[in-house]
Amino acid sequence: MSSAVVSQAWPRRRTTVICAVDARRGLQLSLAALWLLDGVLQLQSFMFTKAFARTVLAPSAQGNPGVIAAPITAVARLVAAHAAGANAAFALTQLLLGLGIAWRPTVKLALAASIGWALAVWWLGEGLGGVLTGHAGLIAGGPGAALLYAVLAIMLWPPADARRDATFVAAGRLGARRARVGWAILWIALAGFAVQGSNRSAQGLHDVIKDMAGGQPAWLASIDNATAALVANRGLGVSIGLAVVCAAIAVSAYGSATVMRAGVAITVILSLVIWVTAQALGGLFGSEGTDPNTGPLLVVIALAFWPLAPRTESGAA
Amino acid sequence: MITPSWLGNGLAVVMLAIAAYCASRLVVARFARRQTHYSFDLMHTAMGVAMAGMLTSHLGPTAPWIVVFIAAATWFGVSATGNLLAVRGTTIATGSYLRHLLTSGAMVYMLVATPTVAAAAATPTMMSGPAGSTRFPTLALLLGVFMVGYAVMVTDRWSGAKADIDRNGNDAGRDAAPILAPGAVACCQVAMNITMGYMLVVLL
Repeated sequence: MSSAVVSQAWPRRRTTVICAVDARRGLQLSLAALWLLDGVLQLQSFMFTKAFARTVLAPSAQGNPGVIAAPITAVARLVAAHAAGANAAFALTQLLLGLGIAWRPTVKLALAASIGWALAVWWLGEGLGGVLTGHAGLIAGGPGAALLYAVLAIMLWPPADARRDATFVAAGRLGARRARVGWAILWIALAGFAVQGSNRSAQGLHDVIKDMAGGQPAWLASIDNATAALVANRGLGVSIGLAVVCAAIAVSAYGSATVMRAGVAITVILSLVIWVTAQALGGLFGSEGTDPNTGPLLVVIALAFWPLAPRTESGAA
Repeated sequence: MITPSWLGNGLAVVMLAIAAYCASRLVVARFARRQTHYSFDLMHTAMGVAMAGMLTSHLGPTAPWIVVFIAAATWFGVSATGNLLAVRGTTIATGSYLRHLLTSGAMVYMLVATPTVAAAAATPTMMSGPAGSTRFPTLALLLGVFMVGYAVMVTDRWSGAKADIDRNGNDAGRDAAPILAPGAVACCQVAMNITMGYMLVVLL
């Protein structure tokens, strides 16, 4: 290989790496902001009451196997007994996770801690997102926002060698193949959830969306009520359509860069549409929301799969 | 009372400490021949006192405070525009002015939307009506998200590129005097933004 070839190839590769690192940091900061928002939401009045444990934590045990449900019930009792102290600890933990990810020297430590914390919340606070109860679904926030926080932390983990597989951000540490498998598993699971249990019933989606519209500002409630009316008595058809879209998104990760970009774009649009029209922005209004639900997380995960165009020094793609 | 009083009181103490520190910067910078951004320090001083008052229901009449923060918003708006149009203006400085403009606007919103944040925090919201009694709750959410994002941005810049923090809104040249404790300013901004995020979220 001549030196001329090397000198031409190196800047292209190097610039691609820089692009991947910048994009990864941007997504890490998005994750940090979400954790910080969660911490601030956790400081709301309602969270300091026993009602938080009784109406948010304890019900997530319902329908789960005993081995899963028993610890949830025990933790809910413990939190109810020490509502103020426990909630202060929860809020502080989430604030520190957000600041830890934003503070560059502690990003790995904070990401690792966030994985552990998110998985604990997924089990003890969300009852595994309803995955084992048949109530999980993209509309309802399945498979649980907390699980997606953990998935995102893994995908955004800083790679040991920034040059390796920097074709998209999620491939940085996992490698492109594992990242694609993770993406496919997530969306195939969501496709499966869309057509399971009550989601198949004629009024299943209508009831879920109608519930979320309660207590929201007029403009948001009207959007959600209109969506609920739109899917009323069409639950099965909408669920099947949703499952097909999810399956298409799952396989898009294995396509060309153009197909991947289309898959990411569809994911972002779908996630935002569902977040506004069906999830009521995660129920942030009404002072009882603990997180913005899965919509923003799915958007950030999708952006981690956006193919990064290699650029030369002149900036040409 | 739902929210523990220690939370509001504790945050109020922190805000007062920040206000005192930012006020002291105005004096120390002059004597130590260090640079500081006087309008930002003044703004943080006023914000700290007003936020402490709102957190503890000891703010007093809100009208003077609204005037103060509308004046601040106007000042930062004019400064941002001037910087944008100036030949030597920088994007970083303009961004910093705009962020302070939004922060001033958030203060005005909080003062207008509800008498005290402490009162809102004490409301048993699970029994209240749709979206509580706050006016324009969507604006509270948007501003709250902005505050959280601002805190993250400041933390990232401070940890990763100290030079960015030094330049942020200062435009210090190579021959200019060093900036007074930029890390402390970043700390103050992060604490204030998170606290303001909390104050906005309890209005939802």
